[in-house]
Parts: sequence; C-alpha cells; structure tokens
Amino acid sequence: MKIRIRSEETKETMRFEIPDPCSFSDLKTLIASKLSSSSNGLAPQSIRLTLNRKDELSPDSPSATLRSLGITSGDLIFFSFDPSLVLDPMGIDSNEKVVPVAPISGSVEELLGSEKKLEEGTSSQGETLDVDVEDGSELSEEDVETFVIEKSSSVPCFLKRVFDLEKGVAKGNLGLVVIAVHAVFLESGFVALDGSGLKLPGGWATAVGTISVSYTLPELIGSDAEKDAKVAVLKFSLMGTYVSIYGFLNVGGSGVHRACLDVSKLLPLLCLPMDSIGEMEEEVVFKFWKGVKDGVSLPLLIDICDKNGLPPPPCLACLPTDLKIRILELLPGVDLARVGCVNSEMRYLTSNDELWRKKFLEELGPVNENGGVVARWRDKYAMHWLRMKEIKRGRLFLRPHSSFRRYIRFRPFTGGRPYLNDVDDFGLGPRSGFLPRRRRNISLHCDFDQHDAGFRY
Amino acid sequence: MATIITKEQQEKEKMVTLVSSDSEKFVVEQKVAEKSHVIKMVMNCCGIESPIPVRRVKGDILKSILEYCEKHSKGEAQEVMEKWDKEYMDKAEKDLVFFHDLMLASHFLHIQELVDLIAVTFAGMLKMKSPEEIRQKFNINNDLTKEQEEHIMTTFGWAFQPI
Repeated sequence: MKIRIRSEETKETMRFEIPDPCSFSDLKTLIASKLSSSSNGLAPQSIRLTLNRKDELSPDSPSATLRSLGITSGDLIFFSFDPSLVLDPMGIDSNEKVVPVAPISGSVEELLGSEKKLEEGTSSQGETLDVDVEDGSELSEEDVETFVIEKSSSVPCFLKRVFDLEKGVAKGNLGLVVIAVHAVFLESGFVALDGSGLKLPGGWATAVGTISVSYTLPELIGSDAEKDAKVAVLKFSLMGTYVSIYGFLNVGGSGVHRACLDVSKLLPLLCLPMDSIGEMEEEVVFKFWKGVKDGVSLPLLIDICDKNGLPPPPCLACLPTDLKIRILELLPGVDLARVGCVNSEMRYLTSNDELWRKKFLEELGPVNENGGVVARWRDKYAMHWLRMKEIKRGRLFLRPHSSFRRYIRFRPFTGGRPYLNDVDDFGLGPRSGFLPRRRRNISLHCDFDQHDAGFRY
Repeated sequence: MATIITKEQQEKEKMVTLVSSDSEKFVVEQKVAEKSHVIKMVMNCCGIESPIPVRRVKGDILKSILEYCEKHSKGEAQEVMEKWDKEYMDKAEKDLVFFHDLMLASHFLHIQELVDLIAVTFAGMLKMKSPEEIRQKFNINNDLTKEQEEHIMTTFGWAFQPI
C-alpha cells in the first residue's frame, strides 16, 4: 500500500510503499529511520501522526495495523515531533503514551471529508490543499513507473519467511532486530528452545530492556540427554542504532561470542515489504547476515556441538563467509554454477554478480561493453560459455539462431526498468533481452530474420 | 666474529611458548610464531616472557600449523616449498574435520599464506563434482524447496550439459 507522509513543519512530502498489513509502530520506525539519515537519531515514539493536523492518531496498541485505523492506499498522513520524547536511546516502546483513541474510525470518505473541511477553513490551509490534489495526481502517474515490483534474489527470502510468521509481534526496533537475528539462526540450523518450529517462543516481545532468547539444535530435542543438554543463549541490547548480540552456552568455560552491528540502514528495510528490496538494500541485508552468522551463530554452532558431544557441524557450512567467498573465487565458472545448486546458502553466495564479472574476465577475456541493455554477468557468462562450447563442437555455423529474437519481438515491455534487477527469473530463456546484440557480434554471416530454425539451449 | 655469535645466541634465546586450548605447550622461535599476524601483535604488546594462550586452537591443529610456520620461516627455494606445501596439503585433506579446523585456525591466527593454500586445496575438492557429490562429501543438507530447485535449473542448468 502506498501512502504519503508530510511534515507539518517543512511541508515536505515523502512517499512510502509499506507492507500490508503494516503496524502503527512500523510506520513510525520507518519515518524515524528515513529522517535519521539527515539528522541525528530520532526515536519512533517522538513522532506524532495525524490525518488532519489536529487529532493525533493513537491506536490502542502500537501493533494495531494502519488498516484498522482506516488508513488506505494513497492516504496523506501528517507528522510532527513531540520534543519531550525525541531522545530515547533504547528505542523500546517503554514510554509509549496511553492516549485515548482519536475519533477517527474511518474510511477514505471520512478522510476526504476532513480535507474538505480544511478547504472551507482559512486561506492558508486552502493553499496546502491545492498542493495535495496535485500530489494525488502525481501519485497515480507514478504508480506505473516507481512502484514496479522488482524481483529480488534469494537474499531476503529467509528473512521474509520468518517475518511473515512473526509479523505483529515485533515491538520497537529491538524487536525487529531480534526477528532478523532469529532468521539467521534458523538458517544456520538452530531452533528456538520452547519455540514451535520456526516461531520464537511466546512472550519474548514483552521483555523490556535486554531481550534474551535461547536456542538449541534439532538433534538435542527429544533425546534422552535433553534435560542436560547445553543450550545457546542470546542476549540483545540496543544502543542508538547499534545492536549488540552476545551469544554463549549455558555452561561455564565456553567463551562469549559478540557481534556489534550498526542497524540504522537495516531497520527501514525490515519495515518494507521484502519483495521490493533492490540490489543496494540487499547489500545491507547481506552485511547484517554475515556479521551475525560469522560473529555469533557459527561459533556458537561449533561450541554447542562440541559441548554436547555431537559430531562437528558440516565442514563447508561452518567456514566464515569470507573464507567461503575466497574459495568460490578460486573455482572456475562451471564449478561455481554447480556449487550454487548445493543448498540455499551456496545459491545465495553464488548469486553475487561481482563474482561472475571476475569469472567472465578471467576465463572469457575482456569484453567490449556497448552500454545500453544491462545484463547480469552471471547470464553473460552462461551465454558465452555455451557459445564457446558450440564453437568447440563446430556447430555454431550450422545452426542459425533467431529464436531469441523471436522472443524479444513478442515480449511487451511493461514500462519501468524490469530488466535491471530481474535476477532470479532470468534463465537462458525468453527474457534474455541482451541476446540479439551479442549474437550479432559473433555471427558474421547470419541473417536473423531469414533463418528460423529453432535454436535453443 | 664474536658479535655474530652473540647475535645467534640472542636469536636462539628468543623463544616463545604457545599454549593450545587443551593446555598443550609448544616452544617455538619467535620468528616462527611471527608468521601468525595475531600472535605477532600479542608478542609486540605483551612480550614473549609469559606463555601465550591460543584458546580457540586445539593441540594437534596448533602443532600442524607451527610445523607449517617453521618450514616457511626458513626461506628455502620456491620449488622446494611448493613440493612441501603439496605434501602438507595431501596429508591434511585426508581428514576433513582436521582440514576444516586447520582452515578455521589459520584464519583465526591470520596466517594469510596458509589460508590461501588451504582455500586453493578446498576449491580443488569442489571441482568437477555434481551438487549431490558435494553434499555427500561435505555432509550438507539440501534445504532447497522444489520451486527453488527448478529456479536454479533455469539459471545454472547450462553447467550440467555434457561437454
């Protein structure tokens, strides 16, 4: 759902695309983090949201969804700051004010009504309304361009799955971080103690201050040794935009593993729908994932296996991410592709396009970049690799290749830039938008339109 | 002449004691221990008089690593070293758990040459194998869903064609 947020002071309007359902506190966090990038850290609690600049929107609980407050797509919401609450380093909703529910039960009609009332008001307010109307029309035009949903690669998948389960439980910034770390731990092979399946144990979100979650391994559940089994304990604390994660076993002698991460860039992403994450944002998620995994979850995994007398965790899986990447860099492209099919982590690591760019330049030589259509290096590599193979087989000139062109001709462009970040959908098939040009470079005597023999990989 | 002898003696005296996580003690020359960037920093700030605990590394691993460091601190001819490295790796890669611990330890101790050598060997183990063979060799679970696997085949399917 798309909404507009306008500052009461500066009249500056921002547009957000927010997940549906989105909770009230999520929206505040999102606004706070957008503004924090320009000024100093802002506490989400200090933000006052109104629909008509008078009555503050204050739902019964911060986890109430925007929809339950009658806010729908396209709505305009005003915000201002409550200076008494601006500084709150913990970022926890501990001092959430209990305010009676504002008399906005409403719907779009009611909201429109309130804008009409404004129009009838003073002239200065009337001017503002004119701007509103313009904004509204802009938004509908932009619908097509700005909000084209770009498919992201597999990176945030694990996050998304966990977030779907925990949505609505998260309380404040720390709550969001806990869920994100939970996702990393699940991915490493841990399960939450007393939790069910992927879910965190109930009641964790009620803890104020430091949050603590215990993890164990699936192997230890239901075994005779379950009672004596050593579990891993995680403690979280948030200072400003830095979160500290301490991990240790509930037994003496094992070391404490600690990661301290700056989550100022991650938090706004956690409030957004995971499907709309682009490449830049993916980098942020990856950094967080790597920090938690290498700093806390993998060392704990090795410790917990060791102390409980379990066989050590799988060899390749436990290496720090840097080492895994180092190893992948040493593999030829074709082996890289095969390793990418092993499991979700390898799939994710081999989706890094910088890696494929290196492989391409190493193995297939420098390529003349003509600009224009941007393609993934991975797919370029695949194409050139196959072509080299064809040349080796001596088949290249026996088979004209116009089928790609045929695909392109019939595939309508839907506006926006759907090809740029379109990662996972990109096979060797119909969407290879850059193929005709490349083909032409090497096929010297080939007339595309006359040969129509089906050439497919 | 006399000064040279004293220098040599001084060098000899520069021994440092390293203690592994299972309390095994190793006495090595300082220049051997210096191969590890981490130990070098510890020696620079704390001196070499008291034993240095290497808490995260077990005795057998530390022994093997020090063997590597000792060989590489001698400055022998390149061909000799390459041959030695190959034998060293051949021995190490027989036991995967050992090999894995060796890599973690050399990464932890910041011995870049050894990390690189192990990474190359590791990459060699992954070459020319199918995903299933890799899973079996390294005991990795396949956590991909059906849809993800199908997806992968559209992106990486080309790598499975017969050459």
